[in-house]
Amino acid sequence: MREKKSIMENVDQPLLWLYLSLMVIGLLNVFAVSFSDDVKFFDLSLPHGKQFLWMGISLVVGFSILTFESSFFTKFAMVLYGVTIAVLIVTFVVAVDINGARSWLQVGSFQFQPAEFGKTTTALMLAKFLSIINGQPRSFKNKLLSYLIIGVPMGIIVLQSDVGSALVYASLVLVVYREGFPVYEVLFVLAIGLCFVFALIFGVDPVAVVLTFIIWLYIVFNSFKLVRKEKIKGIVFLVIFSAGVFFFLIGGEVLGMDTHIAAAVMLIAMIAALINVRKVRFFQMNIPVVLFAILMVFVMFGVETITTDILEDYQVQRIETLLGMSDDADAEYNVTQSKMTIGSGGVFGKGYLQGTLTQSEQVPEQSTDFIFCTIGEEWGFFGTFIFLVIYLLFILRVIFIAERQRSPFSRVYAYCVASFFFLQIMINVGMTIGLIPVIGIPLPFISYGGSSVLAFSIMIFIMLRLDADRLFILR
Amino acid sequence: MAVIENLKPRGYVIQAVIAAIFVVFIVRLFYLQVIDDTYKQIADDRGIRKEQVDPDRGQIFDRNGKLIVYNEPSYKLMVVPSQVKDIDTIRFCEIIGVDKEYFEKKMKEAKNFSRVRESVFLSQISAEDFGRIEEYLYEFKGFYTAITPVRRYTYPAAGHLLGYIAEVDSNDIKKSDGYYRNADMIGKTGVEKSYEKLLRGKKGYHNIVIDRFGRAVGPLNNGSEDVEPVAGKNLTLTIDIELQYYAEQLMAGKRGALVAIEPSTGEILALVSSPTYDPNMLSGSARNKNFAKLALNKENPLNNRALSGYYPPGSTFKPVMAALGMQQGSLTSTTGYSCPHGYVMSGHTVDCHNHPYPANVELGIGHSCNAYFCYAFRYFIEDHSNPAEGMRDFKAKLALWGIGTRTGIDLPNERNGNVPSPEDYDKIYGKGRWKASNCVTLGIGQDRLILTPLQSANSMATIANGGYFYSPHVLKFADGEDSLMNAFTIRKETGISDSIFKYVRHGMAGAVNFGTAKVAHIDSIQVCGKTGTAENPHGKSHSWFSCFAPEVNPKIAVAIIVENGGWGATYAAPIASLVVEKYMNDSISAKRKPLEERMMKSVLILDREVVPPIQNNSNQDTTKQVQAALLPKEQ
Ligand SMILES: [Zn+2]
Repeated sequence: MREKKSIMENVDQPLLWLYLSLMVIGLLNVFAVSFSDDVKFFDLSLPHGKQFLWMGISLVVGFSILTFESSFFTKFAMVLYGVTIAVLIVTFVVAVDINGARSWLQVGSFQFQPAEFGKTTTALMLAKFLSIINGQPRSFKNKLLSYLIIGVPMGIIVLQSDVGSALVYASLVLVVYREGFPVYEVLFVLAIGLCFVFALIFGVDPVAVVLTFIIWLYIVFNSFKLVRKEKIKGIVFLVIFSAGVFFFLIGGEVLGMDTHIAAAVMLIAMIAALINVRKVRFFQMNIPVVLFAILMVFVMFGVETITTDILEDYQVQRIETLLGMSDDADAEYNVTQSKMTIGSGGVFGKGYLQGTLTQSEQVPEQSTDFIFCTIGEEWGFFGTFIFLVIYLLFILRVIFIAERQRSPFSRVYAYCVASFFFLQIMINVGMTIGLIPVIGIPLPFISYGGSSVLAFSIMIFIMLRLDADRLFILR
Repeated sequence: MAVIENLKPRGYVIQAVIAAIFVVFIVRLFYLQVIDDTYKQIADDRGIRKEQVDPDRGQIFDRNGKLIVYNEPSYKLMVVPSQVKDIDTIRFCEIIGVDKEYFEKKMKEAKNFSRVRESVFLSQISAEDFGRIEEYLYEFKGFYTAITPVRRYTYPAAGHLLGYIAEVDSNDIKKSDGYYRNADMIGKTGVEKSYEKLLRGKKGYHNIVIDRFGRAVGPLNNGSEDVEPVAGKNLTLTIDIELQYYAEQLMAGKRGALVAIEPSTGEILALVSSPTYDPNMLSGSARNKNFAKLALNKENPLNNRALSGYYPPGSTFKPVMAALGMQQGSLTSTTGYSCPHGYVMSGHTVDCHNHPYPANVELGIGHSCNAYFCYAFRYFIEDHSNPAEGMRDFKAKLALWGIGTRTGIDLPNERNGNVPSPEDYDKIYGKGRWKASNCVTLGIGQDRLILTPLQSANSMATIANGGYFYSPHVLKFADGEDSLMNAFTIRKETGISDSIFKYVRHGMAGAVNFGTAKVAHIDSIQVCGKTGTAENPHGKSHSWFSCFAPEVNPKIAVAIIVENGGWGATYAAPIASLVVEKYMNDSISAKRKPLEERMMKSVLILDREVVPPIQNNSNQDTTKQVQAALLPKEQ
């Protein structure tokens, strides 16, 4: 009893209040979606009723988490992670297809997405691993293991066709960045992402051409010193390298060659050029060229594989819609309806429960993925502004908590939490206002969905529990 | 500690990135909600709803331009669940003509779909019911009427070939890349399925302005942003609907199939599977009931025997065997084999009937001598280095005829048939421990040889053409879709020269003139034909006849099988010859009228209630008559 009291004293009050206010906002908005003149607030058969029930369950579970020892989470991080991987695989095998994804597991009448709970356990595992190697040199093996801890569940989730959740896991690059992984590594991961998006927008070939042009400029500008020092070697290097680039640039158009083959020829020429000058020590061009080669291979060979094999048709279509590339009326419809609903809210909104577009079901899946539309319509810019500020404060508070930890385990975990929330809200709100392709993931605490609310609550309460012990070093 | 100190700035970078994204969002929202007023005009208690507008499905014509399939309006009852209040369920069910379970089930489905949008409550209501329902509808808030088209057929014929349309299932939706939605119609079989993409057209969308209760107020911006539907393409088929209908009448009361092809083009003139059904039965309100009835019927009227029926070809295969033997050189036009009432092997004898000595290949075909073609097959195989090699060659050469492989017809569910491979016999006799004499009956179309009626007709077209065929097809023309026809203009060669087929054709003419198929003789037309009897382990033999006519410059090739029809000459040859005569002369000579009548009236199926013979020619009346006969309880 005494101990419990002391824990409640140490729980971060601002975050707790921010959390509770988000929950209330969520419940009010789910109710607004199902509202009509004959709907009562306490009706457990309707979404808002169920949501209310789940919030209650989440609070009970959350506060009982506060009674755990902090060491429980460090001790069992690995076990929980192992269980998560197993459950994700089982889900992939046995799950039924819901909206094109095989990511839902059914236990009795309760359906849940293991990927939601896997976020917490993956965060714990990453925290555990990074705290073990804290202060040690970042060997290649350690870094690889860190990326694998993130990548394995992500890969399984991609196989489940749940690209939205997988993207959220990708947000953990922010955490390894904060933990001191080299910036260029993190930037490289981001570069792959950017190349992917640009290749989707402009097609594979223009991206490859631009990348090639950039590396060529980089090499030419850096070659002056070399040419001055070793004239013949330098010129031979430049000629071979430029010939490779030239061959690629004209190969496709003029010679009518398959661009994949032209790209391969260019990469071989570049490597040959580098071998020629490998003994000139100060000449640091290997790493940029290797990175370039990896990017090129990804762009030339990976993007098509991903768009045709990994991303579901509807997702490619939605990306294309957003980029104005598709004339498919249906995919465009979602975004248009969503923007229209938000836009119709104006400055001060139409008032709570007065959302006419909301109530006439203008936006598909409005209680789940498109709940932000309801806020936009009923509360206007005033409401969305306040809402985003609350959410931003929430995330910044999580980072604040992370930074005040003495134990690396707690810090890493808290950063994971912040990253997850950041990416969820970025994708979810981004898609409703037409800045990001339509990828179905919920807005934490706001969207209707029991397993999402419960999973994010557990995530938050574990962090609150760890934070209550912030003065200790956890291993 | 030093490490952590160093890394603190990275925390600030992360916070800055996050804050920046939020700023971007807020700026975007400021633009959407405060500056941009694209959507403000509809913000006052109004919304827009995008409503799907279905295109008219394409109509279908026969080769002579006769309309076969068209659309007729049908009536639906729609419901908006949120508007349904204080309804007298019992009275409502009485007026609409549904029971309480149906009412509750449909209301639940509708609520699950949407509380404020329309769902179909009852579809395909007849015109008279619709009139009555409309009269009372004012009593029941939340229910509306809607009109959609249904398929109608001018002839009660060609059901298998045309196929039918029905509501999409979840598989159709998944496979369509987002084109189909619940309650859309899709071609499920036949031409409706093969040419679904042409027939369906392109959906349109109307933007309807609605009030806050979801009720339509009017079009948005006078419909300027609406997408109008594009009607489906009209198709012209290769079939002659009169011939098709005539053939179906002849086949009525019998189980089997008939395929007629124009040899010079590969165009299907008629494709009958019997027992059949009136395509109108599977359209409109009666479909569900009728479909269940047809699906459960033990004669299996939904099965398209013409494309998927498996039958040993029997003697109708002999002309093909003759061509293969002469191609190989193991048989010449002047080869004769003696026939001591059969082909005698060490173990047993392949029996033959009593006939004059088959002194050459023409007489072999004309008299349909079993021994002759057992020899022909045996020497074909023995002309190869070993039996396995011979069998492989046999299979490969038949594949060029479209036998043992699909002919490539533009209709779904075509089956391969079967030509055995050496491995099949290795399994029975042990590897390499068998020879031609273990399977000589392949030469007379028995053993493990299986053809579909379509393949049989196609082999006749090949013989008629003198060694080549065009893939059989039913599409003759679709406006602006010429490229679709490319596959049907490729001449498929068997590699056998016309000089060989000359003898085969002549032999087949002999079979009709003096041999086993005399009943198929038509005074004005030289028919070349071959009867066949497919042994049936379950009962009376199946009756085959394959033919083409005339001998010179053939216009039609026909294959027909009548299950349990006994000798080929009993049912198959007369029906085929009547179809040929009808097609060539447009009418049946007085002399053959009694034959026609006998064929139409003969019944080999016991379950007469289900598939009665069709009696007269007038379209709509017949349709009703057939339906009345088929559905005695409903009418
Ligand atoms: Zn004989």
